[in-house]
Parts: sequence; structure tokens; C-alpha cells
Amino acid sequence: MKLECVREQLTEAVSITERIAKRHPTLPILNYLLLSVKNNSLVIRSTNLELGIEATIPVKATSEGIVAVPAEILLNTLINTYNTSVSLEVKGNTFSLKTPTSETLITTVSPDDFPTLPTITTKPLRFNEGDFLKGIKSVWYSASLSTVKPELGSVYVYPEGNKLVFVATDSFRLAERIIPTKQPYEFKPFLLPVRAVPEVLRVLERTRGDMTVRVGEHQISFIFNDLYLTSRTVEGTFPDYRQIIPKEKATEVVLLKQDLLLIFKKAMVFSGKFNQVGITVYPKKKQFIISAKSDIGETTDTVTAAIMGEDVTINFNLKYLTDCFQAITGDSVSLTFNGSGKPMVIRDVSDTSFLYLVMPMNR
Amino acid sequence: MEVYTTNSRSHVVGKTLDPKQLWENALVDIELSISKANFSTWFKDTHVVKQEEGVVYVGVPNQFVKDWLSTKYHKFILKTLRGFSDGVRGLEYVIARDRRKQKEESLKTLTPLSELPFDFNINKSDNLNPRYTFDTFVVGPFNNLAYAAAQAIIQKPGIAYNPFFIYGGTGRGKTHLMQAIGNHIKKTSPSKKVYYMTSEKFAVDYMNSLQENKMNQFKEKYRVYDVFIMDDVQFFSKTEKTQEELFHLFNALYDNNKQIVFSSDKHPNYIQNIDERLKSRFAAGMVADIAEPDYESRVAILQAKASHNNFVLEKSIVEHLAENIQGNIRELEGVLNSIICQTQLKGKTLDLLEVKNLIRDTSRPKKLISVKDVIKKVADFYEIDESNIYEKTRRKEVVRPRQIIMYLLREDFRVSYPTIGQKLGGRDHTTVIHSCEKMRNEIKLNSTLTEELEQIRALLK
Repeated sequence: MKLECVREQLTEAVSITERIAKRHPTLPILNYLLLSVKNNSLVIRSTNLELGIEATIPVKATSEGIVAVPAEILLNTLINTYNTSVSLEVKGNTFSLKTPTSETLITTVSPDDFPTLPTITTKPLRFNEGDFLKGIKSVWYSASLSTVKPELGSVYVYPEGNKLVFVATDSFRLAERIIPTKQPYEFKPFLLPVRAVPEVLRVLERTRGDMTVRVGEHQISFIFNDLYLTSRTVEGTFPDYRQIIPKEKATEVVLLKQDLLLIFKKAMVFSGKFNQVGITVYPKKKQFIISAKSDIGETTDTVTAAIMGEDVTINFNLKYLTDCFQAITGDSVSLTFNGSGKPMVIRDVSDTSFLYLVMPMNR
Repeated sequence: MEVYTTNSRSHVVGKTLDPKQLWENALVDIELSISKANFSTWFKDTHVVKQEEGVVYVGVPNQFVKDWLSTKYHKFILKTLRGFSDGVRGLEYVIARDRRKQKEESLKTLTPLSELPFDFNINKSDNLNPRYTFDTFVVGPFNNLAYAAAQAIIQKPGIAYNPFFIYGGTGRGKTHLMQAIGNHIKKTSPSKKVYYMTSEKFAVDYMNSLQENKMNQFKEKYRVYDVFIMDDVQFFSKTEKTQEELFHLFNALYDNNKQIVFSSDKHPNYIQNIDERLKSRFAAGMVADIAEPDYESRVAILQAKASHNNFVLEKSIVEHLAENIQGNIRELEGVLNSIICQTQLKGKTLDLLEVKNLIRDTSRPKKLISVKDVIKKVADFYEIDESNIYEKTRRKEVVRPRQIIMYLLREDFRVSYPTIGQKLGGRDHTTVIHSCEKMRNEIKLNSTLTEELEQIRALLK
């Protein structure tokens, strides 16, 4: 293998693949990147057996070949190289990275044991990647981090006519984002494991435009011009969440997001180790009161808000409340309650496509 | 690498190995032949799913492993398997979670948070509740025909008895049996599409499809299933258009040898307002009824349900419950659940008296009936004069009704022994105790008596 390429392109391809090339308890080669050269393009592959990424860059190759190079070492070498072009060559089991002013030699291992990436043969679907990015970003923080119920440790994605629906829940709160699409889609609903989400987001954020997705029975692939990302999907059935979304609203409060966030930030200081915050609504007095109390002291705020319905007193885990604001872009939010033991619904007043459901703390 | 040494053993072991042992033996050989790293990455989490017509189906955790095994190790694994069993013709990989290894971790919640009320038990794609299996199904004389038919069906779905029609009163286990068929087929042949639905849901779906102009999708939707289970078809009465749709669906499935299972509370011929053509189709395959469970079955059901809940019930309590709650298994289950709940609440096992009180509260209809009423009804039932009961006579035709009255007064109405004695012509309370005891023993042996008691109880309600 012998080739020349632009350092910046190579560095980007290596850095995006290197992130998942981590130490594996049983298979040391997963710590490596597989570099293969064919037809003047270099494909860099990495996998952790849950996720796999392949990045392709154009190169000027004088001879083709395959080699496995330790990921972290290659990345650190490249980051700290400043020349615009680099040439790579493999001689025996030594990988050399040359610039006009430097030469680095890295020991390689046999690429034979490097796993292949699964390919999916289902019908390719064209998506706007911004839609996917927004959908996943709006909900994934709600997914469960526990491994007890894998279906909750995932983002659930399904088509519904001209809409894509993204949902995640850890059974204490639930976030749903509905993204309208130009055309209707048909694919088998899938559960994207939350552990794969950071990588998927990174890849989606990197490029703008259209992407191709293939949804397989146990696997999903995101395909771009120069990048292929594949992840296993979670087996299981997402709970029928639609039936638990309250249809009534006994109490509704509409207020400015900015006001609420500021108060929440302060309340966080006083909310103690359970992050507990109390909300009291008096529609007659037009009062919306937020209070937090712990050993170190207490704080109470009365906020002006548009209030309708019945009195309610209810406690929440403040962390769950603040989490959802990353998905709310509008200026005002609506909070609806159905009594003190029932979940609260948070919505963006200007954008009905987002819904957040959170259970109260019963203390 | 001593990859091929396994061949030398081939005829020693023969083909008697079950697939699980076969795979375990193969794994041992594979472990010795490849590097530790490779073994623990690619083979450690594999298990055998089944062996069918010489093909071994190996379950693997994900697509990565599946691809790798089939490209890198396929021949090697096949050769190893053949070393143990000549019958191995092929090898397939399926992605399946190993159910045995699933650990039941308990979710420890630090914060006093309540959870969103999800129902995790029902699988949305086929509506089957995994709780209903044959393992938890108690077989007795009252349901063994239905059970045997179900067993035949799971062996040869679509061929043995098609359609299979189960009927019987409420709470007898129709749904349990139907869902067990579905769950079993789903487990043994994962490629088969199983679907369970209630007739009501079918009707609602039909109506919605009509409104939204999606009739074509509706027609297609249910025709893809290999096993189609529909509960409570008696609710179809008077819904002509839905019946017609079901008729077409039935024909489509039946012509393609797909298994169909129906249930109803009556024999198809007695369901009112259902098209003749549909009735004749319901009855075309196998019609099996589930009768009222007899005493022994009720005892067995109670014990099975209790042990399923890891709960130990005293013999006397089981007997008392089985004697007093009849006909409806759901009711039995309900009482058992409340006993378990009370036990947990009180932190001690309930004694017979407490159980008696409990079931009186939960299951006895509250209705005021005087001792006189009971005597009159029983006397009428046995066609003797009411006044005979009070007399000091030991004629057989009087003694039996008198004992039944005592027993009923005691068991169903909690009248004290001395009072019973007094009301029945000034008899000693020990006589009453003796009579009740005698009845209790006789009920277990004498089925005519049980039937008679049942009829009398029905009269008293």
C-alpha cells in the first residue's frame, strides 16, 4: 500500500472513526483502524461490534492494500502534523506516515481478524438528515441508561403517514417529537440504542443534506457519500405510550420559558440530593409558585403566568424538568396538570410537534 | 491449530445428542481450536435455537457476529458439528437474544418517583400476552379435549384442526388456551406470523378503515398472518358488514392453510344473529368446549396459581376455596390474589377462618335470605314437605335434605352451629357439626351431590 492524500481530510476521517475504536475486553484488534486502498480511494473502518463506521476519502494511490493501524496513535500523529499533504506506505508490518519534513513509523497487526461491517439489503430510504438530527436530539436524553429494559434504553423511531415520530422514555418521563416530512415513509419501526446516539448525532451534524437510511431486521445503516455508519437496533417492543398521554387538562399554565429556566437554575441550588422542587398553582389568585427546600435553605418564586383550571400542588425531580428545555425553541411553554398524582405535560406553545411527559415525585 | 481432530470422535457419540448438548460439545472443541480472544468475542454469547431437518440454527447476539461467523468460521463450525452428529446437514445463524441468560435485575429507585403506567406485558405487534403459556395451563377433565386439540395444532398449525373453535363460559381459560397456542407457535417457529385480536377490535378497525377510506389496506392487513386468533366472536352478532369481512378473511386464510382459532361463550350454532355461512365455517374444523372445572381441577388450578406466585397455600384453605368458588377460574384467581395481598399486608399467613371471611367479602353476593327460605327451597328441591325437616325422623329422604340445609346454612350463611340446631327443630349443635363434616367429605366423592348443591345454590341466589 502506497498513497498520498490531503492531511486535513485524512485527519477528519480518522477522528470520526477513532471515537469508537476503543479497547475491547476480548478482541484487541478493535482498538485499530482498518485502512484499505482501492481505486484511488482510502476507506477507514472501525467498529465496537455494536456500531461500525466507514469513512472514505479520495487519495492518489500508487499501490493498493489493507492494513490495521492503532487508532489512537494514528490520530495523535495526524493532529500534531502541520503539513498539507501526507504520504502513507506499508512495508512489512510497519506503517509509515511521511510529510516533506517528517517520518513516523507505526507497528501494525494483521488485518485478517478485523470484523466486516454488516450490510443491509432492504430498500434504501432518502431522508433529510436535519429531520433525523432534530428528532433524535429532541428526545434522546429521556432514554433510560439502565440495561434492565433495553427497549427503554433506546430512541424509538416510526413513520406515521407524512410524519416521522421519535420517542424516548425511561418510564419516569417521556419525550416525543413529530417531524413532518415531504413524502410519506414506510419502514419497520426501530429502536436505536441510546449508546449509539452520540456517534449518530456526530455523524449527522457533520454533513448537511440528504442521506440514505436502510432499516433492517436487527440493524440500521446511515449512508452518506463519504461515510457509512451502521448500528445494531434493539430487539423488543416499545411500550404503547400513546395511551398514557393525558387527554384532559385540569390545570393549564402558560409562561415564558426564560422566566422558568432562571427560576429552575436557582431552585437547583436548593433542591437537595433528590432534586425535588415543588410547584403550586392557584388559578383564582393567578399565582404560580415554585419552591425548593433542603438542609442548606430554601427558595420560593411566584411567577406571573396565564393560568386556567383547578388548584394543584405537586413535586417534581427538577432535573427531569430542565432536561426538556433543550428541545423547546419557542419563547413560551405550557404546563398542564391533572391533579397531584398524575403526570404533567410540557409543550412548546409555538410548536406542537414536541411533547414531554413527566411523572411527579410522590412525597 | 488442531481444527479437524474432532472427526475422529464422530461415531462414538452418534446422533442421539439433543441440539443443546450438540452445540455445547461443539463449543468446547471450538474453544480449543481458536484463540481465546476470538472465542470469547464471537462464540461466547451464542446458543442453539433449534435443530430442524438436519439444519442447526445457532442464535447469535447481533449482525456483526452473524456476518463474521458465516464468512470466517462457517465451514469450521459445520465440520465440528458433523464430528458430533452425522445428521447435521446445514447451519444457519439467527439473531436472537438468549432468553436463558437474561438476568432479572431489579430496578432500584433511589428517589420516591412513580413510573409512567406502561403495560410492558403485551406485545404490540401480535397482541399476545407472554404470561399465557401451556406451562401455566392446568389440564383437567373439563378442558382436556380443548387442550388435546391445541396440542395437535401447535404440532401442525393449519393442518390438524382448522379452524379451531373453543367455547365455554366466562373465566374458564379460553383466552389462556388461545394465547398459549399463539405464544407456543411464536416460540417454536419465529418465522410464523401470529396475531391475536378480539372481535371487538376487529369491528372497530373495520369501522375506522371504512371512515378513512382504507378498505384495501384493511383487507390486506390480516391476510399476512400464519396464525390468526380471534377472541369472543359472539360479539359479532348483528354486525352484518363486519361479519361479511370476517367471512372473506376466513376464506382467504383458510384457503392458504393458515391456522385460525376462534373462541366464543356458546357453541357456534347457538350464537344469535350470525350468518349461516359463517356459523358453518366456525364449526367446520374442530369445536371443543371448556366445561366448568370440577373439584379436583379447581384444587389443581389453585395450587398451580399459588406456586406460580411463589406462594404456599395450606391444604385446608385450598380445599375450602375449591369447594366454595365454582365455575369461574378468574374468580378463583381473584380470591387467590387477594389472599396473597392480605398475607403480604399482614405479614403472616392467613388461617382458614380469615380466608373464609375474605371470600365471603369478595365473592358472596350480599343477599338477605332467611333460614326459612333455605329450608323451603331445599325441601322444594327434594320434593318433601317442609314440616318433615323439623321432625325427629331418620328417614333417608329427610335426613339428606336436612344435612344439606345445615351445610348450606353453615358454609354459605355463617349461621352458628347451635342456632342451626335450634332452628331445625331443637337439635344439638354436635349433630349439626357432624352433619356438616359429613357433607364436606361427601362433596369430594359424590359428584351428584355437588351438582345438586350447585342447583340449590343457584335457586338461593
